[in-house]
Amino acid sequence: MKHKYLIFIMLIAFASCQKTLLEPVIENTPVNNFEEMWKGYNQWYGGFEVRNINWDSLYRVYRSQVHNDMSHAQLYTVFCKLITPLNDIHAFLQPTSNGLPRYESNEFFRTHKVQQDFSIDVVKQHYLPSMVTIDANLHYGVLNGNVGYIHFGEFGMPFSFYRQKMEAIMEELKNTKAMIVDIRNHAGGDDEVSQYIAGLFASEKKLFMTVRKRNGSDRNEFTPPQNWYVEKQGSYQYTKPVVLLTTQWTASAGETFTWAMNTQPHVTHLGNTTAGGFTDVISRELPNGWLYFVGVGDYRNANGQSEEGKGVAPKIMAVNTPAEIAAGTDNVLQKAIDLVH
Amino acid sequence: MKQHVLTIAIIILMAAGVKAQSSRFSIGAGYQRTWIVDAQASPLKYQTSEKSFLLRYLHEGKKGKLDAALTGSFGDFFPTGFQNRIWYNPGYNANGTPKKDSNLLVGQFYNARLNIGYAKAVSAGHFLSKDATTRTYAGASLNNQLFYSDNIVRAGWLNAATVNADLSHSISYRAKHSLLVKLSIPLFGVNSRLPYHNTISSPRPEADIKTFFKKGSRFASLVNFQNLQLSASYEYAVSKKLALGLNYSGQWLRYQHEKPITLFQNNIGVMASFK
Repeated sequence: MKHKYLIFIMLIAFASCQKTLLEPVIENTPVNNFEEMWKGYNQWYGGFEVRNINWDSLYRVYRSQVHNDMSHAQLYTVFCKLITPLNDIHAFLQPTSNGLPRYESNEFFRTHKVQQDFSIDVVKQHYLPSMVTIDANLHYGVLNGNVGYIHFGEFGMPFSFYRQKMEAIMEELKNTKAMIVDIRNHAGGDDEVSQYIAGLFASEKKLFMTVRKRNGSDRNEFTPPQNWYVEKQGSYQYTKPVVLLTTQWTASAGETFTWAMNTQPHVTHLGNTTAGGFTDVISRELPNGWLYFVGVGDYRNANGQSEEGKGVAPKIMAVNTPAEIAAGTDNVLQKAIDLVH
Repeated sequence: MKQHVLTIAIIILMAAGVKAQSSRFSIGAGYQRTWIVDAQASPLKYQTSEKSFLLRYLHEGKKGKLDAALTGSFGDFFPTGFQNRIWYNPGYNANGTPKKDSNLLVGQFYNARLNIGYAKAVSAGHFLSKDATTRTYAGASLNNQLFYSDNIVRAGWLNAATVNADLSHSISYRAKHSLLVKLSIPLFGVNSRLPYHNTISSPRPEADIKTFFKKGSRFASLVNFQNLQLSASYEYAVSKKLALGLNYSGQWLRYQHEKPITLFQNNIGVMASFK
């Protein structure tokens, strides 16, 4: 019977030693939260060099402003100041308590808040009443003059969704004489989808970007560069004239898609310069439960140049004013239609 | 290749059990809690509240036993002390005012484990009394265990495919009561985690899961992967065909890559065995 008791005691001892056997966690204090956030960017952020950020200097400036008897709101203010110089669409703070709002380090997103130079409703009501809506971020149809139109608001659905939907859409638009691809409010998604959809318009295989991602605690430690090519996808490729429309709200995977499309000779890029944030992003947590977001990559275009913080400039610049959109006029779309006629 | 190795191993293990005298099939259900500190994803400690199930086949002979078990679980996943975190809508209304709606920031945790092993009796039956006998087994098993979460920081992603050393000890009393305790320790294997940057993408058209295994797998041994798996079960034979029982299993693991992850798990459940 001694066996049984011994086994029973061992089991109880094992089952109750969770705290002893796990790594210790960091105490939730303002100082520790600051240290953790600074360290998180230091260890995962991929944009220090290309954005010319002196992260050590920012530590010296803001660490001294943090003390353990400060309020949540005061700590939030310091965090906002810390990440503001990054000016990056992928660097933002998302508190999860006290009703504090998300803070965007990117100046354009932070100050503009709502897009006013594009509206899919204006396109539908005034240019394409027969528009087909697949979901809120995927529309298509045929404009007057037999010009195809596809709108992507993101690439966030599973890859299989795009493969299935795009095969059918491209078949339907096959006999149009030109195509307008509209990504003016593209919020991002997966680069694999960017690559695939650009491949539906590819006449030739082309390198469109190289990607390195953080691979260690040292700020210069990255994975070896990976080459991304656009090449023919789908049962046929649309190689008639294509106009790609972008704005400053075209972001992330919308921008890698822009890179991929711009490699093709029959594509004309029209609109405004894109947002300038290409990389994959991760979310991390602080000891107080708040979230912050970190871009982990160093993405370069086919020429090896980083356009982080700059964006992809169009071949033909065209921008709608808020008043034009409010009046139901989309001059950028009209310019694209004129271009292909 | 992995599938071939697994198939051959199963055939060998089953061949070893040809002389077996009895076999039984068990089903079970239980409750599981897992605690994880995954420095690659978060400085916070995460915990779960999971429902679990168990399917088990046991083939026992005079010289040894073949044991195959599939366990699975799923449940809520949240940082300890932050179960009710709020995700505030970061968007703005058309007039530029912030949206006011919010929802709870929740996640789910999934855990599955497949274990197939053969153990040889190293003590041929020892009488504790005229009614009670004990027996000790030593053996090896193939073990695959997957931890996956769909929470916002991807905490706890790990697949461990290992060869384990097993030691078990059974006590039976008047053929009605039986107690089995088992200790299992992975010796070596292949562990898969997200890469350091915690993202998945590939310039080749392939499924994310394939990319995960291609980019995040590396050899694991006792040097970088420590894992202690302990289980105990008690069964009462209601009849010659049916036994009912309770089981406990727990494990602790620590793996170094890319950043250290430590995990502790307790599971308690009930089961029914059919001969």
